[in-house]
Amino acid sequence: MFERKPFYAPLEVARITGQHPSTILRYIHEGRLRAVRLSERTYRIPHAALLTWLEDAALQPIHRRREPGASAAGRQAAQTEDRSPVSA
Amino acid sequence: MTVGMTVGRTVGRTAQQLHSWWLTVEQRLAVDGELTVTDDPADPGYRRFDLEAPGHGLATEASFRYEEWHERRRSRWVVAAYVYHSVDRLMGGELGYHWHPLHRADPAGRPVYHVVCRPSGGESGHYRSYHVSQLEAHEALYRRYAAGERIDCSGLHPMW
Repeated sequence: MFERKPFYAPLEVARITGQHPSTILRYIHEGRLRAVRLSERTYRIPHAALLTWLEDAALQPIHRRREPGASAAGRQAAQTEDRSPVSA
Repeated sequence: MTVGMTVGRTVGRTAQQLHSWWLTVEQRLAVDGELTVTDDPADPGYRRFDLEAPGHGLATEASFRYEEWHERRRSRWVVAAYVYHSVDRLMGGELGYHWHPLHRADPAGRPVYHVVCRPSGGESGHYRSYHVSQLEAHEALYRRYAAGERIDCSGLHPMW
């Protein structure tokens, strides 16, 4: 769980999701994560946007890592996917 | 966004395009708070979007109400009036972009672009404005909220 508040800085989202801050900024620039641009380098992610993003990530098919007979490579890919809140 | 709205204003949208537009607005607003969409079965050209922010269990700090009225002209739907309004629940004050008849500004009853602004602890006033799209209005109003800026009407030009 994380502290619930109206807006989050990209760095906070990075901490919550375990991703690198530059990855979060990339998601913002690509329009995959909603953020309000307050100045040239300052963004704020709305609470609802973060929740939606995390929910979408939870719906990704990470269950593949539990499939019997999955290859080592497949398991590794699934574990990588598990760490990522957003699919490619 | 401006282009899309200009198309809607001057050329209009087919029924499918209008439906698509409202879906776009709904999806766009839903990530900014708790959204309620209201339609009118008797008026397919009307939609109202009420957004409470931040929503999702947190105390409301800002409310946004966006209403659009579209008229059917030949086979297309054209924007005929709108109200894009916000209320600051933390510091007080209201700010909105409106386009609807304003008798004092135009006794003929034609829609008039104007801003309705009430600073925290102050009186509400009507100010000159221009056409904005719903998403443009939302970005401006929501950005002010996100930045924690107090509603300030001092830079606006009164209509009368």
